[in-house]
Amino acid sequence: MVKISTLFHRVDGFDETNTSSETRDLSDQLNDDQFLKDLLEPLLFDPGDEIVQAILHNV
Amino acid sequence: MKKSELNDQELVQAYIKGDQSAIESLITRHRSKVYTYIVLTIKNQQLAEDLFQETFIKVIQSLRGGKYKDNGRFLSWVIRIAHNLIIDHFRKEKQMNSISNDDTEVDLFNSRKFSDKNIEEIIVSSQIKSELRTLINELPSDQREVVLLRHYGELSFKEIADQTGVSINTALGRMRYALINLRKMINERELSLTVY
Repeated sequence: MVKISTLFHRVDGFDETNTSSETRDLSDQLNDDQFLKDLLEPLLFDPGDEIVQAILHNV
Repeated sequence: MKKSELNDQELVQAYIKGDQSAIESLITRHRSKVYTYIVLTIKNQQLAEDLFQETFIKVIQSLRGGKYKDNGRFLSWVIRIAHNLIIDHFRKEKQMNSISNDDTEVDLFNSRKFSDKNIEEIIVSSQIKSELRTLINELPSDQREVVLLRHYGELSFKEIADQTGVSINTALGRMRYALINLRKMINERELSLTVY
């Protein structure tokens, strides 16, 4: 039976000086937010001014 | 200085100090995002209008009562109030054992807000909105909730987690799956969602 230690295993191609995981996460999040913005920006419904006046009248 | 040049914090402070017109500016500034959040969540125009009014009445009462802690996130606070009112509504509805609003479709595209546009703009705008609305409606409700709170309410994932009673990882996971599903639906249906 062959035992393989993963403790100091070097992943081929991994460059620790490159972008950190945290930065990548933030970058992913910004990309996702931009995707949502692009997608949902046109989806905006305006309830109109009358309803605003109704609220102001009711309070 | 014009009201439109003031930020939310300044308008809130002006209202608290007695400037009644400041609250009108705040509602007008955020009305579309708040209304869209509500209407996409509950899918019923009449009920959305009622909850929209209730939301801002509660906002005004809270401001008057000194219950608002200003941290520069007025819109997020309003969306959280709207979210709670929606939850309250569904709880009451569940208690009354009435049918879900999911089956009630409304035509938002024929309302008065499009009356000043030309026919072509109305058609293009309506088609895009209709396609987008279908995409959002087809998301599982927990994923849709995260998407709407994030985009329209500008809530952080911590706030979304608190608001929906789940962990941050669950909120992040729901968003991840929502985006995967949205991208998949767009690709499968070969949708063109750009305004031209």
